[in-house]
Amino acid sequence: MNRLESYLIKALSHSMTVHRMEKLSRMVIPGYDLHKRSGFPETIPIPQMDAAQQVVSDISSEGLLIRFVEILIEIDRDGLMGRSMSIRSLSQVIDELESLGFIFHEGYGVFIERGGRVKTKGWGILREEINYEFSFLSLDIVGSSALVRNYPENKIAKAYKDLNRIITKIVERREGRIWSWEGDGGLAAFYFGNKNVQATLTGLEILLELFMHNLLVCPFKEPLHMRLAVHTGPCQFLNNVEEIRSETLRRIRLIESKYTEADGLTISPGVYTDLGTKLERFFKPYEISERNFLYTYKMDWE
Amino acid sequence: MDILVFSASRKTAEHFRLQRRNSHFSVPRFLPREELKSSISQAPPGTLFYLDVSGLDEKDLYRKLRLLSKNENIFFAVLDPTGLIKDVAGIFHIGAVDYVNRSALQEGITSKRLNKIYNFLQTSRKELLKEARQIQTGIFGHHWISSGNTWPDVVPGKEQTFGFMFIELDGKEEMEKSYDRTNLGIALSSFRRYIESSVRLFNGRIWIWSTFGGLVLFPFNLKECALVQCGFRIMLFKHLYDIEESQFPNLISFRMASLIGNTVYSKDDTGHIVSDSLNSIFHLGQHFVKPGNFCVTEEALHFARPVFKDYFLEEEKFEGRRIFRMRHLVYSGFNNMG
Repeated sequence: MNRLESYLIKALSHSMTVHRMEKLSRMVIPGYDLHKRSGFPETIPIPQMDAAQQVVSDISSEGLLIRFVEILIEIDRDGLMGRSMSIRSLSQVIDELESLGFIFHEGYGVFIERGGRVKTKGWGILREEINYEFSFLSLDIVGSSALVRNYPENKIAKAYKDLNRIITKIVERREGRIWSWEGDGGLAAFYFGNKNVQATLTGLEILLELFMHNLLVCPFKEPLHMRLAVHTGPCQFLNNVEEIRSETLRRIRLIESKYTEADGLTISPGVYTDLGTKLERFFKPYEISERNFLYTYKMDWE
Repeated sequence: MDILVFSASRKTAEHFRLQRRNSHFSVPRFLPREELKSSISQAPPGTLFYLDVSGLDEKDLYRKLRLLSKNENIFFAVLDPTGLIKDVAGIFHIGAVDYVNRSALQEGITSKRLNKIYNFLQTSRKELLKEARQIQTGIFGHHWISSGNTWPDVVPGKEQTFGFMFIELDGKEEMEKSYDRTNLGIALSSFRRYIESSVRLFNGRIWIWSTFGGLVLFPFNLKECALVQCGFRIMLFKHLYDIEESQFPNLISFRMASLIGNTVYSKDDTGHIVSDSLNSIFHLGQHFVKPGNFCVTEEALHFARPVFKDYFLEEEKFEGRRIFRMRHLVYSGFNNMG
């Protein structure tokens, strides 16, 4: 048993009844049955300490400890079913998780990796081969092969590296992660909060920064152009992104390559409906087939 | 540095063969000798005074030379086409930097001669020359004094040249009517924070702020000013602020104006500052710029990076100044119905 588990056992056993422990466990493991798991007959009450140990052990073996702590934080703050409930020693649990390299994001109500220089594709919390709902941003440099033909390799490499640095900064500021970058384009994923809004705003900001980059620092005679698309949907998480087979990823690549203009951003209907009144005004519907719409953004000058 | 020539003869101007400013000197200005005394007290440090001594009686000659020599903030030189001065070396002993007799005057005061003086000063009067370098009568005829590259270079209490940026939210009466005071206060604070963080990237500082907007200052080194680039970026990225940070329920609109001008910077007591530039920027922002627009004076645009010029269109003149307006952004999907 590690330190996090022992702090959690202490927090549960000092803060709630066995019945409530079981109820909370069902929020991460549906149908969780404490008697079955512990081997105690239905007729015999489970001692509080035994119950806490069992719950923590089961949740830990499912890899759901962090999610469970997030639920405890939410209950400590907002109560459970209208009743306030204080979780004792919770700060000790949070401190321990933070010492393990996580940070609690108040806005999203989740722990994510503290990051620093190393940021993983799964924010330190996604599990391999599990399906999650993501919002994706696909990026492509337009006319890359012509640039490669016309300019020396080192100049191209530096320009693309600079662009990658700008894009990564914008993506990570909104808690997105770059999943792949292949020189002339890539894919970013967003998982937390209003992920569709975050991915869309990231796309807009990249287009604006690209405009400033072209104006002030672009090393080529001609400006760099990009095509961007945002789409949302389920996708399996794999650290090796190339191995992911996903209809959502296939669809976003199609939207970006087939239905997006240079220096434009196209979003799918599922993303558009989440944008809110302020942001949706910047997008124009674009009918790709009967009653099948995409929405585009493109900035121009009077 | 500036050159002032004091002479009783109009023909003296013909001997100065400096039609355009060179890298060290501005085009000379010619003034009557009666203005010598008042000009000394008003001239910026490092100004070079040429005094034409022809026709002066001995008493007047030495009084004027004494006046020039005792002022350590300026450089002086003598034009002596009639050979009035007997002890030429004595002129240099009291601090003159040039002596021009008849034959030298016939050859002309050229850029080459002035550059020799400049090189001489670089070794003998380095400190004053350094100060002179910070002062320039610009191509637009203004008397500008560098405030440096960054805020530590700015000297409070001393007149210096800055980039001025006026910013004000449009529709303030409407906002006061439709929002309750607390919510409006929160929204206005978020707007101020946005402006503060946007200008900080370019070395700008909010100097004066009232409820709906204010004035930002940028140090100006007389060579380049980030003023226009900063305003351009604020306009370009405005809708990201609108969506992500703004506490106003609708998209906001604000207008901005920029110019380059002089003021005495002080951290406090901004209510008592008297400055033409301050008046001008408020006039321009409040009486000329239309809602949602960003206008800059010709001078401000001149000192911006050249790439920005394509994004400004000339408007009508305002208070005798040429004004340029940033072109509007057009979004393919944008509808203005809400």
